[in-house]
Amino acid sequence: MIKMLGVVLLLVSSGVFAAPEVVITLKDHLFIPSKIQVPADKKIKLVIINQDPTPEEFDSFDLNREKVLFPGRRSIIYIGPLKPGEYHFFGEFNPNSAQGSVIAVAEGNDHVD
Amino acid sequence: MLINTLLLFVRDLMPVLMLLVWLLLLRPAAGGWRALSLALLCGVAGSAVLVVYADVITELADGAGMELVFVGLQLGLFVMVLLTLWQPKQMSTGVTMMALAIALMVNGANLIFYLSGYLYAVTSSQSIVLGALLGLGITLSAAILLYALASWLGGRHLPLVAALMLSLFIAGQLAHTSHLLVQIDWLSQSDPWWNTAEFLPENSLIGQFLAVLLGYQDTPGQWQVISYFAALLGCVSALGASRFKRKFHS
Repeated sequence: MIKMLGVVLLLVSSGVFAAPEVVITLKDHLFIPSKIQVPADKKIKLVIINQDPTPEEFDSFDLNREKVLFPGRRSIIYIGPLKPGEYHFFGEFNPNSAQGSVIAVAEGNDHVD
Repeated sequence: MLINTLLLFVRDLMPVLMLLVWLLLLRPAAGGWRALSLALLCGVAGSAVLVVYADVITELADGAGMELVFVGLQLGLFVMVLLTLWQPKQMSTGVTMMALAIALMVNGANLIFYLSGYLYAVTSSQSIVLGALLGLGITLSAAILLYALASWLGGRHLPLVAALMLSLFIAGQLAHTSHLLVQIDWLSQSDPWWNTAEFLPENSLIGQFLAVLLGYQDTPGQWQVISYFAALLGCVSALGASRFKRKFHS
């Protein structure tokens, strides 16, 4: 029993059950990459690095998420599990340039129709 | 940017003013101007600390630092409201004023984050200044109107009306806070229980006002609904315990 508990703790601490991680960089008020393909029905950890000297806000009505991204800092947002489809996001302070989307793809599909 | 700034003031200034309105109606003495000034000063100082250290706080706890700080502060506010409801008359002014200081700290910091973001993004700050003035005017007018209306309609039941409105207010704040925990994966994500975004979007002027007044949400998940009703239950229990205690002693 204690051994089993030890194995579970080891797996948790080693990140075996961790959500897949996607890194997005914000530079010159642009999200790079602007389109991210992720597996549907899975929780995803978005790591957003703001390389601009000004703050930005990650905002998405589709994903129901909003978070201030401080200059030169790394921010984390969890999204999903998502149904297959496209989910838009944008920068609240620079909505004309800072735009992107998360494309959730069902297992076995390479792209969304 | 004018509309964004206006909505920002409704979202972040209105909760502080609304809390002040319900607290003043519940406890008209509320420590007087000196206590109020001290609470405002503490709130502004707290906001300044959050803003200055925001970039450090945001990277704490694997990037969940800011959410956790906001959740901690909102829980602190909830406890202060519970204590105020439990012993509205005997409660020390300190608890009531601490509630106000915490609300100002959280909302003031948010207001500064967003205002600075808007100011960085525009070449002319004219629309932001105008939006801020309009937002300030609307929120102040709404708070004064609400105070007058509640005083007039409440009659001899005014303390009870104020207590119930305060309960709805804090329940809405906690429901919003629970969403922060979903965002950092401390609570599980769920499908919205309902979707009224097309009928009344939460980010509209009326939507924001109702969100602060009653805790309205256009697409709440399970944790938002659970935390809303759990907070309401806590408030009603505190209020019931307070009334029972008074009857028992009299």
